[in-house]
Amino acid sequence: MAAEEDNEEMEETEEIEETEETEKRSIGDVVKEVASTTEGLLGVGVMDMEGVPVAVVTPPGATLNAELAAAQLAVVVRLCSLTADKLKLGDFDENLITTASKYILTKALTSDFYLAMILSKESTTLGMARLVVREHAAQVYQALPKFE
Amino acid sequence: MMADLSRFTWGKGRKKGEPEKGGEMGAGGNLNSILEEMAGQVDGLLCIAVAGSDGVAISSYVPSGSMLNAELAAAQLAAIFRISRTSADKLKAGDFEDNLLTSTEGQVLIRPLGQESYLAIVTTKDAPLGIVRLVIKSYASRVEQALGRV
Repeated sequence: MAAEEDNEEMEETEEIEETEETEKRSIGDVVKEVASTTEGLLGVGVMDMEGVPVAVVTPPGATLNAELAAAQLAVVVRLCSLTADKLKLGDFDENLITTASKYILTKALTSDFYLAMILSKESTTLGMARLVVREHAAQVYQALPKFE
Repeated sequence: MMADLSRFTWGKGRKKGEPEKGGEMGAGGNLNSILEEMAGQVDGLLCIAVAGSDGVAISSYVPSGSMLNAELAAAQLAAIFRISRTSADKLKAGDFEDNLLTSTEGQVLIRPLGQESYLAIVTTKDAPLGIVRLVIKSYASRVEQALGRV
């Protein structure tokens, strides 16, 4: 009986370790997973507010310049944040630029990082694009390195 | 001789039932009345602004009760309008159609009116986005036409 109890305890410990490992996934792995599960994706990445990409995935065939996107969209996020502040609309949450063929979404993760997603309008809808970003923002936030 | 600017109402919403100022409705008055009509269809409205890409307000409507400064909004949103257009261009995403900014307490939808001006609706966070998008889409061409006559 005692041996059985020990086995159960060991299994429980392994489960906890597995869960902790899942939580400790790298930001790169999370971004890759987001890319593989999002329909119509042309590029996804976590960027810093200085305009430098931290982890970016572009599906094969996509011609997105990640460095350019990170730099350009950092300016967008900073400006949106400033605007929300100046107009007393609370904290900036997300921004969506709709163009003839794409949805360009940016969402603030922390004061230092933002999530950017570029989606094809042909393969997704506006409602779905907004849901996808919200859903994945939490996972990406979890995987972000936390500085004390 | 001073120009008669009474047909323009800058940043102030007319209260319900209050008679319209000025007799003959000019082009600017037409623009103001369109914004007022739009305002009646959006719940949680904080401001509607038509402005140039230089950030100067052409016409605006702020409902009574909203504390938003329309001139500040026009100037600030012009910067977002320009950066959105530039971003669409640089990322080779085709023509810029609109920009939706969401914050913890509000939403801002900006739609271009040609190359040099834009129409923006600022609402509270809980305003139905679908209605806001519908209103801005359906009134954009009317506003653009009225703008052409100013």
